[in-house]
This record gives sequence, C-alpha cells and structure tokens, in this order.
Amino acid sequence: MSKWQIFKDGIFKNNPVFVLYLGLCPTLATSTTIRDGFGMGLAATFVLLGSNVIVSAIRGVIPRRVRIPCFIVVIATFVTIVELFLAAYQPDLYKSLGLFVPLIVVNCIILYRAESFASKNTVFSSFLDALGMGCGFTLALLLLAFIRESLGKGTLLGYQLIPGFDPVVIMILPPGAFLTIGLLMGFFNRGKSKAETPKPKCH
Amino acid sequence: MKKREDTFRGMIIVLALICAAAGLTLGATYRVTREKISAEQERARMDALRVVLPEADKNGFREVIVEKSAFATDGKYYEAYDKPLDDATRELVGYALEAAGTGYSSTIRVTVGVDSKAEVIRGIKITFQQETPGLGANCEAVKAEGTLWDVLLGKRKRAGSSQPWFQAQFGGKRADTLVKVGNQYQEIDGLTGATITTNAVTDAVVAAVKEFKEKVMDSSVSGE
Repeated sequence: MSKWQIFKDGIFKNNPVFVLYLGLCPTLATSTTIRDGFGMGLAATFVLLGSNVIVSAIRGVIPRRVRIPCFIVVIATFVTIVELFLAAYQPDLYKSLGLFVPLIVVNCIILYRAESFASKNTVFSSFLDALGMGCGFTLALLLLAFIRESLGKGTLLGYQLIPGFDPVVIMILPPGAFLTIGLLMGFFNRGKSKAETPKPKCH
Repeated sequence: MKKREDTFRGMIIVLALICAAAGLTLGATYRVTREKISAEQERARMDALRVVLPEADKNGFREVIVEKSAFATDGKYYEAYDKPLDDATRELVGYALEAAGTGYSSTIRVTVGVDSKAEVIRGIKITFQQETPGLGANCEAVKAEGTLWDVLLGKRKRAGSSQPWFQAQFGGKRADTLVKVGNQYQEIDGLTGATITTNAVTDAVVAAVKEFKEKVMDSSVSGE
C-alpha cells in the first residue's frame, strides 16, 4: 500500500465515522455547531497523531498481554495534554466541549488504530494513518455540523444565515443527530454489498 | 509485535516505564499551563462581578466569608465599592451574591448583583450551566447583530457580542416584584420550551436576594 493510500483511505474509503462506525458518541454530541465540531476534530486528531506515533515507536517492547493498558496510558496522556492546553488557551471552546474532551480517551477510533495499525507498522506509516483518520473524523464532524447548525440554529460559525428564519430545533438535539448521520452513512456506503463491509474490532 | 518481553517481569517494567514517562510529561504540561488556567478562572470570576455591578471599581470588591447559603453557594459573597479597597473615601454601591439552582440537566450557577439595600437587582451573570443546547442553554444566547452575508460583504466585523438577552432582562428589576403565578414568573420573559431552566435561574436569583436580605441586611440593622 502506498503511503499516499494510507492517508487517503482514512478520509473516504475507511472513514472512521461513516464506514467503520467508530467514535459515534462524540460525533453526535459535538456536531451541533461547526466551531465545536472542528475543535473536537482537531483535539482528537492531535491525540491520534501522538498515540499512533508513540505506540508505533515502542511497538517492539510492548508485551502483547498488557498492550491495551499500555495504549490507554499513552492515549490518556495525550488527551490530558490537550485538555490542559484547551483549558489554558481556548477556554470558551473547552467550556463548549465540556465532558467530551476527557472522553476522547475512550474514542474507539484512537484505540482501534493503535491496536490494528500503529502496533504493526512503522512510525511514518502510523503518522500518515493517524493524519488520514483524523481528517476523516474531522470531515465527518464538519459535514454533520454544517447541516445541523444551519438547520437547527439558523447560523454558521455563530453568524446568522437568514434573518427571521425559525430554526428546526430538533436538528441540534439527539434525534436530529441520528437522522442526519443515518442519511450520511447511507450515502457514504452506497453501492456496497454486504461482503465488502469491514468488521471493526471494537465499537 | 515481538514476544520478547512477554515475561511477568517484562510486563511490569514496561508498564511502569510508560507510566513514569506519562507522569513526567503531564507534570511538565501542568506546570506550563497552570498559571494560564488559574488566570482564566480569575478572569471569568472578575468578569461576572464587573458585569453584574458595572459601577463598581474593578479593585473595589471585598470578599466576605460566610457559611454556605442561597446567596453564598461557595461560602462567600462580595461587597462592591465605587473605589479601590484601599481608598478611604470609597462608598458601597452594592453586593455580588453567588446563587445556584437545579436546572434541567445541570446545576446552574449565577452571580447576582444587587444595590446597597439588596432590593433592586443590578444584573445577573450565569457562570455555569449545562442545559439543553437550543433550549435551556439559550439562557446564555446572544442575539447576533448581523447575518453571514453582512459579514461576507464586509459590512460587519463579527457576530454581536452583547449581553445575553435572558440575563439582561433581570437588570433593574426589584427582587420583590418577581413572583410566581402558578408555575410562571409574570415579570420574566421565559426561554422558549425551557420552563425548568427559566424557573431554575429566577428561583435561584430570588432566593439569593431574599435570604441575603434576611440574614445579612435585616439582622445587622436590628443588631442581633
């Protein structure tokens, strides 16, 4: 597989949200506005990059039987770093994202990539994989947020779109999230037969 | 992944090393960000105080420690003066109370500014809430002044950043006029579809002012 392919797959062919169905909880919760979605996407991508690189770098010494705790410690460290930096330099975003920043630790995308890719590939490939997956995750968040914010709040990035537009509030509530993600998943997986669906190891 | 370190001893050593490295990294990060974080918390606190009592001097707030009550959720409230605390000619302009109430999905914290007689509400600032976005969370919503097109066409610099309308309406109201008829406060424009949040905030404000007046103002007058 070419290096470019590794990166590209994470965005479309193996999009973590729409194709692998991973990280759905934070996706649904933080895609109410573009600002929150983008913030979450960047935070998760930073953690993904850090954890993939470190896990790949020490893959030779991690004992197989305690690999999961090792991954989790690495992931949690990066998440805490992100949390501290957000609290210090982006307090408004930190307040909006709230509980979902520490929850990045259990975002399945990150653990899944550490286990199934970073622990078995070189550092550079792992870096590219993390970049691709992170971009795919962020893309999914932005797509959802674009739809939900414009319809559910009548704004984009906080700026009002059409004056006097009465927003469809359900779009920024959970049912709206599920409706939107369901339709988008259908679109991303169109034309695929059952045999082609990849089987992720954890949800 | 090689199985070289698959011994019990190997597992312990590797995990311990990883945790040690993690600890060191986090310790360093904490030290780097610690000041900024506490500066931010202090800024938010001062911001709330300035918003609810704009005529007070920014160095004119005196913290008063009391036992926890409806007007001192964390065991303190503030006296506000028009000049810095070290200025002997300063005069009391009012008090800043810390109230809290159970909302729909979170405990809402409100800073309430009242006049020196604790009768008129000068202003309120919600300092913490995690209510439903689009409904209860609109208690912090600010009406945008322009549309996206205005911004794109260069007519407006950014979305309006004035005070949230729901909180702004409390300014100037007398606390004793805020009465509930049934389950609604007649004097307050409620949040659409969020009666619980509306009432939680108003209840907290009313209770804080009432209890403050009883415990602090009236008892000091009667000399008990």
